[in-house]
Amino acid sequence: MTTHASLPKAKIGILTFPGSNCEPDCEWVFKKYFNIDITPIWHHERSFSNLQALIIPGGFSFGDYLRGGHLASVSPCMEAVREFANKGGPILGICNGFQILTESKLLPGILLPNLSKRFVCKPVDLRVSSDGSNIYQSLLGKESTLSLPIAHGEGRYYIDDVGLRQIRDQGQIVFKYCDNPNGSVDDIAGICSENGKVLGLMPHPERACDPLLKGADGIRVFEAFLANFL
Amino acid sequence: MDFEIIVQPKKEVLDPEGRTITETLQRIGFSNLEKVEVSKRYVISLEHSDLAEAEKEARVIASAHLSNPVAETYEVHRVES
Repeated sequence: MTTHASLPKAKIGILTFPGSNCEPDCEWVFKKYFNIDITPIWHHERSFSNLQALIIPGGFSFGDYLRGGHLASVSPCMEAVREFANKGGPILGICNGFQILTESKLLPGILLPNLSKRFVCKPVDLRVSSDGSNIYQSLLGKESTLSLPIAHGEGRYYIDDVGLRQIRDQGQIVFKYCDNPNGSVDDIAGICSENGKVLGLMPHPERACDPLLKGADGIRVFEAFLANFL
Repeated sequence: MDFEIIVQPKKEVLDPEGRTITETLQRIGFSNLEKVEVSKRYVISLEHSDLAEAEKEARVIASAHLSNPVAETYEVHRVES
């Protein structure tokens, strides 16, 4: 597996809440493949400076009480996150991180309990959406496929018909499931903000970055995320 | 002052829990059963002397936190402590 030791040193923060649990995997991936140290940011922090990008990891922040991601979305750090997003800062939300982004209204829609009512944990095939255009489509290739694991009980992306038309027209749909595992509207697995800088997805790219873990397609997602600002 | 807040999925949003309960009850013989709708009930107590102000605050809590307007609706009712 190639590493990217030649990349300029980036300053990336990773938000952690009580119940976040995927931050060590993200830190491992960024260190191993991109030689980047990620700075953990505890949810009580009210400001963070000099960051080039922010990751909101997966897990079960605040025990998923009320709705997955909602209690985290009103944490002290979220004002600074909003400011960072408003200035065009790149943010990647994975699984619970995606839920936090929708509950914060930094991304449209909501993640509801899976239609099956079961926690689904398995590798899934995704394709890059060809609706409209966004930076991820350019970097990964429209209709290109990748395999990433999912692990969630509340991953059914929902948005009403008007909202769906809007995110399609604005090129905000990034990833779609090839075989919808949770009942998401339009098979949506990941979307981005209108400016393309905020990306949220239910699958876990950080769990698919080593051939020993049955695939390394996750690296392509992180490479595309890094290409946002490096 | 106590308020009961009921949060339920919008009609157009599939409710897998309600559907599963409906199908199971029909299967075990409740053939007259057409539909079960599931909602969440919260009871919140607010320290307030003014009823209108208390209800206003209860509505903010219900609309901004206990429900998500993308997929859910809410009702707020005053209940006796």
